[in-house]
Amino acid sequence: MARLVLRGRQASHSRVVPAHRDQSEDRAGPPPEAGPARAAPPAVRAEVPRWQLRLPAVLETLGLVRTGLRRWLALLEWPEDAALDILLAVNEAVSNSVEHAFPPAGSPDGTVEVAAEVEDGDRVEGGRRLRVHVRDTGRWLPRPDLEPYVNRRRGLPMMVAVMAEVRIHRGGPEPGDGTVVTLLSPPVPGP
Amino acid sequence: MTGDQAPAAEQLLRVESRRAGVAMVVTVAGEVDMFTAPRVEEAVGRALADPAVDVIVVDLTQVEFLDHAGLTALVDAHRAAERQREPLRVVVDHNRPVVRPLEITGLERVLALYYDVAEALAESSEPGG
Repeated sequence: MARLVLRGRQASHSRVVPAHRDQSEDRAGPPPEAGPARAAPPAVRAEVPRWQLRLPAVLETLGLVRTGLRRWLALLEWPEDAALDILLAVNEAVSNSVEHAFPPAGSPDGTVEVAAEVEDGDRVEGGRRLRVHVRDTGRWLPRPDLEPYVNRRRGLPMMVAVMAEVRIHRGGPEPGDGTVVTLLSPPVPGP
Repeated sequence: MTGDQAPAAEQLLRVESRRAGVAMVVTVAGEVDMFTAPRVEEAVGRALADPAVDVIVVDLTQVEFLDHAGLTALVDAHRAAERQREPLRVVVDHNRPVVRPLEITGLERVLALYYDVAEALAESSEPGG
């Protein structure tokens, strides 16, 4: 169960930090099967604005996700510049799902799900921010055939540059365990 | 994914090329992502392959979204153009959907950026460069 935490603006330099490991994983032997890959999102109050979309992990999905998210952020009166940063980050996460999760790319079985929710009130200093989960049903398998391309990828650095926090949680060994990217935006003023 | 759900690449992105003397101006409008970026590569590739073209100007002022694939297409074209003749001239003005990704990746310091097409065309090319 690999887990990466990348912090953006809050740190002077972007860095990759392994998150604290579950205590269970520190014991000898394989981790328990019921890993947190499919863990339920944190409990959400009924009035918290949420937006969710689940689509096939194909290239055409990128534009549909952006269109839907752009409209929702406009409804929330999210500041335009901050909304662009969210679109950039989410687009890169979905691109990763489309590109890497389902070799051969574009296999119709795979889906990618984007779920966004606003965190506000006393939980966020300085206003509200967006937490976005991008979850796919495949695995980010190493692909030697794509190595020259992967090495010059800019997707992950772009996500880290515009978000307060980026977490990548790779799923277990079973097909369908999936990868979850969690993005946390910097705070913006309330509407 | 069926065609009636998702717009085709042609609807998301419009690419037009026109000659202006020894220059080819490639105008890109709409959203550049992993799905549509190959259309930008094709247009610039055609200009690169044309022996009568000395200068390639890519006008991105009408681009509404630019992702890593679009950036990679620009950098590849920039390097290919540089090897052949001279660097690509990229027109961005203050268009934030383009400027922002260039800024966060540091590519604003790599690409030759211009405010408008007239400015990009006005700069003389380096003969024999």
